[in-house]
Amino acid sequence: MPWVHIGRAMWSDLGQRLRERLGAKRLLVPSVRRAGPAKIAVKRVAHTFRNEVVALKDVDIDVHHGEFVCLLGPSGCGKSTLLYALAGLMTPSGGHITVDGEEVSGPGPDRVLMFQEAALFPWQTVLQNCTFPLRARGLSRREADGRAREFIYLVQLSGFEDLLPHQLSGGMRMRVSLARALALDPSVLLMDEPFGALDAQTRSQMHELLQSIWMRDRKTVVFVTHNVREALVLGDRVIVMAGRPGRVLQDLEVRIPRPRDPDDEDIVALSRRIRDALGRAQAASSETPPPLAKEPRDETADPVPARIPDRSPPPVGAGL
Amino acid sequence: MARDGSLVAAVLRSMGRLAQGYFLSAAIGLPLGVLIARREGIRLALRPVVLGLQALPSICWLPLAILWFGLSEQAIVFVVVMGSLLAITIATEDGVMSVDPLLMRASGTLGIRGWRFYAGVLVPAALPGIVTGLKLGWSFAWRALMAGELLFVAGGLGQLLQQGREVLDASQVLGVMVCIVLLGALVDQVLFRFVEVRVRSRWGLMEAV
Repeated sequence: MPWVHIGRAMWSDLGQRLRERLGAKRLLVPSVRRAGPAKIAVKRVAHTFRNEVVALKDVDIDVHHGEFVCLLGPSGCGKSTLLYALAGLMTPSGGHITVDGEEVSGPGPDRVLMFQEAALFPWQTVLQNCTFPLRARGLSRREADGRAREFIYLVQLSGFEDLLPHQLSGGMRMRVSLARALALDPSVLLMDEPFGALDAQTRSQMHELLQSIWMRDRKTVVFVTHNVREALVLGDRVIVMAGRPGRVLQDLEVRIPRPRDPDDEDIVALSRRIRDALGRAQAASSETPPPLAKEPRDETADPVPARIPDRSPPPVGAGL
Repeated sequence: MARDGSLVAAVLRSMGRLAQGYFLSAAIGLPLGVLIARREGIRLALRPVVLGLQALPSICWLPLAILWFGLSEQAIVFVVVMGSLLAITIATEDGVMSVDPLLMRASGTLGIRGWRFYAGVLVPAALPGIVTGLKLGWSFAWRALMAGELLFVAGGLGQLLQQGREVLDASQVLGVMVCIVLLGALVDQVLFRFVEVRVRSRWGLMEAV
């Protein structure tokens, strides 16, 4: 009988959708506070700019050793501000940030920040750009050279050591920037939308590269992005932020096994969920604020006149 | 122009003074420019002074130089120094102020500090501006030297010019003038152009030909 088949089809369809929902729920769960001391502790951090824009409000985040945390949010949500505060390039107007137990007081090679642009020194070759900070750290010429070449090889730029930055493409410059940062072996790697300026193809290559390198060393990384897919491909934890005022909306753990493929259907579904959540938060924050509670009407007072005094000209013919 | 002996000697004398004065002004002007750019207090104090003095034609330093140093080599070198010092300082300060703040932030996060920062990042980053300043300074130094030598006759090309005038020998005067132009052009067009092109191409500031 036909309706049996229809019924079965409906059930299996429903079952499929339920499984998807539950499965998706299993893959993206709220983070659980881990035991043990945090590598990076962000406590009640707030920052207000001089023009009174509240960039951050009451942000509390703990990052543990070996975690890849993505700060995800639209532009203006304070994620870059928070990252700069972690890097020590900016002091927040309120709260504390400690890394490895020490309060952050200035920038340093233990918390290297990768910028949106490669920020290579234009007069130095690729190799020199990598050895220069190593020499500043105290390595000898030979050690620095060897280590730099190792990391240049890791980012697949062997053979390009003697080129100058202006002779490289954007993606290659970013790879040099990555090699430079990794060679310093920072305890925390901070990345501010480093692949934002690259084309989609190069960007996905960089994701693969970063994933493979990270899986090798398991460095603690804080990665800022506005691209939901990118956050899901790269991060163990995705901290969704919203702006006005900058705050944490959700702290989610991504449980998809690595290495991750950006076209994985789970990732696509999850990114839709997050984007919807972000969209709702945006809409909520741009609504007019709820009207102030009205003062209770004093019922005993004279009622407001029901009619505005009649100002119309007296009818023609009325005696003047 | 059969005065090869005296011409060469005059050229050497002039160039010697110029070199002394110029390198001295670069040695003072470069660090001074960097200091003014980096230290708020010094900038507030010295920048107006430097800008104001820059308006003074270098030859006006000659009377003071003669008062202080007498009729000596030092007086002319002093005039040369004052002629180019301020231009170099201002251009250096400008160069340092125009360094991309991103590079400064990068140096901070990479842990590059102290002398390594100044010598390895700040000055190289400001170099295109500094080279412009050095070129300008050279120009001013050259003019200051000639003015000084003409007024205060003490050997060198200026003296040859005066000699020519005194003996009413136009060809000598013109000859020395040609010589001065050639020397100036040689250094300006050849040496500085070469240095400028090298710096700019390394820094990636040249258009690909």
